Amino acid sequence: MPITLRRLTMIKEAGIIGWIVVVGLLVSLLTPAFLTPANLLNIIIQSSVVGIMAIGMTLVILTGEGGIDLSAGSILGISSVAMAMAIIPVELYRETALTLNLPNDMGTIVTAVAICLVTGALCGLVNGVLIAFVKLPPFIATLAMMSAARGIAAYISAGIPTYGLPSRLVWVGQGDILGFPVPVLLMLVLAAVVHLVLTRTTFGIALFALGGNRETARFSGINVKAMLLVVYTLAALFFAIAGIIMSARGNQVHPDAGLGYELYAIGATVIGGTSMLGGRGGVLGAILGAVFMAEVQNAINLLNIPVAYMKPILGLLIILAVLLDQWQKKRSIGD
Amino acid sequence: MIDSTTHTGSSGGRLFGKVYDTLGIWIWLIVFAFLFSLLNDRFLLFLNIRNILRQASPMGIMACGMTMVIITGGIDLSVGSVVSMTSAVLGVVFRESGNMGLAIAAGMAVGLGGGISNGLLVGRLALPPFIATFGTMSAGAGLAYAFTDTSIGGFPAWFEWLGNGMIRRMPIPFFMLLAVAAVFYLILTHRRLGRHLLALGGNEGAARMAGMNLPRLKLFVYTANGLLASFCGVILCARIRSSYPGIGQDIEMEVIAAAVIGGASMVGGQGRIFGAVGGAIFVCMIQNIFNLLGVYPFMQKVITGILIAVAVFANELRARRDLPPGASE
Repeated sequence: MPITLRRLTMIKEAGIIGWIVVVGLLVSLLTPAFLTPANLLNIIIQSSVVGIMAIGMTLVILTGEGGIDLSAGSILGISSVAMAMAIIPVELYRETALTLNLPNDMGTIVTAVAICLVTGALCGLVNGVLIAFVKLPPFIATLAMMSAARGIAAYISAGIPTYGLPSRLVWVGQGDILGFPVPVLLMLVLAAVVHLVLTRTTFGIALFALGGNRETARFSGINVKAMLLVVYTLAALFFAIAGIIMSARGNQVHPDAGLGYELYAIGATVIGGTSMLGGRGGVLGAILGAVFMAEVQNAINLLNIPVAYMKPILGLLIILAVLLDQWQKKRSIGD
Repeated sequence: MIDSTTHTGSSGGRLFGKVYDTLGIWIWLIVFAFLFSLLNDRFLLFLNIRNILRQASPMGIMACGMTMVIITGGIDLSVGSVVSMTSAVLGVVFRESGNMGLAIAAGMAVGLGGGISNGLLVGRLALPPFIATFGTMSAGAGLAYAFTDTSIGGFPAWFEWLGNGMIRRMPIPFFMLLAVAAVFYLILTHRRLGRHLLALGGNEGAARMAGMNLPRLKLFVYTANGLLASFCGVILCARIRSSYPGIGQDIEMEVIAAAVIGGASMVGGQGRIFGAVGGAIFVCMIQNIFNLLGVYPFMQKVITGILIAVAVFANELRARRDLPPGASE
């Protein structure tokens, strides 16, 4: 028994799983509404948008040397707006799309989704170029992209939100396959794929090497610039996918979609055990971090705690999570 | 472009390089002011310039503190929340006690507390500054609304004068900005403390080896920054004649932009106090000309983003040139 327990604590994600269980038990003691299958499923569905963003954010933070993407929320916004505009022209936005006869054929939907992904990837590519070639600090490059992408999203949509999307698109956010909600399946599949890429491919090894020590990575023949370009573009692709899910779940697209979500994504990533210094972490932790944040949010709602306390509690948890992580790391090194 | 002229060494180019190194953002400020005056004939009016300076004063004060933080290789995301929370506390204490002095003291205590927390988290507990101040940012933003969600006004006239009054036709906050900038400039250039901060940001390991008390230095910069943010929260309350818990939202990004435009390097070890003041005026000047020209608010964001990137790029060029040959890859 003690041996298995020790083995459990050896798992990288043990810390965050422990947090999820402890908070879950505490809340279920306080309210019976928490520990029901419907509510637990609800929490996991809730976590899908931030979870998918956190996958992208993990890749970026792993690159180290201040790697961060503050434009995540804005990229989510601009790609969602681009997707909506591929279906509904902005002049018709005002008509409340729900009453319109929306095109619902596969062709239009696939085109719209493709436009969404390309828009996101382009923003990420610009981030990558600014960081890898122009050599701007990631904080500044993505801060500029944060305001630029948000501004363009508002400009092309004339600042108007649209309510109502084609039903086939809404299925991505609200539908299910054999009882499993589509957003959750999507999150799990993406996380599994990225996890395998990170742990089983040369790209993954190179990414960890890059974050561990960029100079060493360069001397080992890793093309640092190409890596940065790919990572920021990939990350933006995940932000765009999160945008599709958010729009489909809410059946609406707002130019302010995803405002401030970069902080949730960073929070989930860091709570999940990815080091801000780069080179250490993984996507499974990030997903669990997103689930944990959704759990806390859910608990705050169920316990009728004023919404104003939501942010302080999250802030405190992030600090605690990182402190524990540092302590754990120190112990494992053994000094 | 600028660095190639200085390297090829024509005396005119070298002189320009030297002037550019000393003045930095102020050259851009003059160039852009000239361009803007061509775009709109109201831009260079005394009243408009004074308006820009009044708006830039609180941001400039915060940019001085932020520059000190960035010099140590850190970042403080919590300044906006500190401003909000100061405003909320000041308003509530004033409403409950009617004592303006007490209200100001309570407001400043927020900055002291927030700054010390940041300083301890970063200095003693060795948290990455981004995470530590991100935590205090979330905490402050939420707590401000938990404290009060309404706007409170009715302050005494002398308090409102602090934000709106003039001395010799110049706004009072502008004089406060000059005083703060002068103090921090002297600390940075003429005091051992300033040299230690620069050393800490330049090479943390070397600074530790040299026997500097790093936790105490970090505690100092974050506390000073928190206090300055609180001070700006007080000035903003005086200027708009009321307190509001959302007043500081997103200010941190503008302040960081001002510091970085002014020449602070995100890697640490470099920063200019009067550059940060110029950066704050630059950011406010751009917002001002957008409003005069009636530019879409959406496009304002886009152009501001691009200008920040360009300004930082220009600084990076200069910083790269300053490296010894071979140091850049």
